Amino acid sequence: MLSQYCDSFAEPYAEVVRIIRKHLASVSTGREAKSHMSIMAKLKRESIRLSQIQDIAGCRIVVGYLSQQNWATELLSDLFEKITIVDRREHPSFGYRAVHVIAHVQNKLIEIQVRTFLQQVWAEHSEAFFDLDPEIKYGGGNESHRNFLVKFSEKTNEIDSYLISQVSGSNRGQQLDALEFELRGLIQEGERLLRN
Amino acid sequence: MLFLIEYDRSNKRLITFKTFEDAQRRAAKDERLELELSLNQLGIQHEIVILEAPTEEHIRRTHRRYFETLAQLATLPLSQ
Repeated sequence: MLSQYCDSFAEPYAEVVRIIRKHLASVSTGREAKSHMSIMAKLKRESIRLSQIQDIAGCRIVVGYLSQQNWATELLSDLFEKITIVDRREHPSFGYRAVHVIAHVQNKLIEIQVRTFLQQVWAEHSEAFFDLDPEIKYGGGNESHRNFLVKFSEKTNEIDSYLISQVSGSNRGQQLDALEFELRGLIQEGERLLRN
Repeated sequence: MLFLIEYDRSNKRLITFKTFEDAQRRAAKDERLELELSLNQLGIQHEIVILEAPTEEHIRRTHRRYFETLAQLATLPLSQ
């Protein structure tokens, strides 16, 4: 039965991928359906019904800059008749920043994650912390790990914002080098935390 | 293209990486289910997913953690 339910996402998912490939210069990668184990784990963890899971099928688009993220979000809003936008940039979820465009297609919800490259870097790193302590993903777990992920996320956001700022000339290069240096320092701090 | 991925999160190791053509979707799903069931029987908890992308290169860009160490993930081409 779960297999049949997952299979019912195949067509709406394919439709979303087709539209993205046709209209966006960015290429998406995606997942037609979560694995059965992931679905069951989510149902157990969040005490929700199967029909309430919004990310059974989904795609991911990684863009370079916040401006491109805004553009992609606006375009996706125009391309689908009914959508819900979850913007986790101003109010990140425990450090997680991204825009999720949830397209309602053929009575199914298909989640399109739009992330900047640096939001993606944060997300990839945070997975290493979640492996160690899954509660962190939901606001629990080790406090120093939680604080680190929030700090790391704020730094990536600072750099993302700087990248689209109007500052030009040699100052810009110097400032970017400095921000990159700070981010590398944070990444090393994260590696130390993971080792301890 | 479709990519069947089995990833051991505890040891950060990619165990299975298998490529299927788009027309082999059913076969990919069957293989995923078979893998899930056999690992479940053995009590092994690995992440198993089928991802879709035009090429492997795209998967390596949007799902770097399956393929790269944390040190490699720290590569930041900001100034390029």
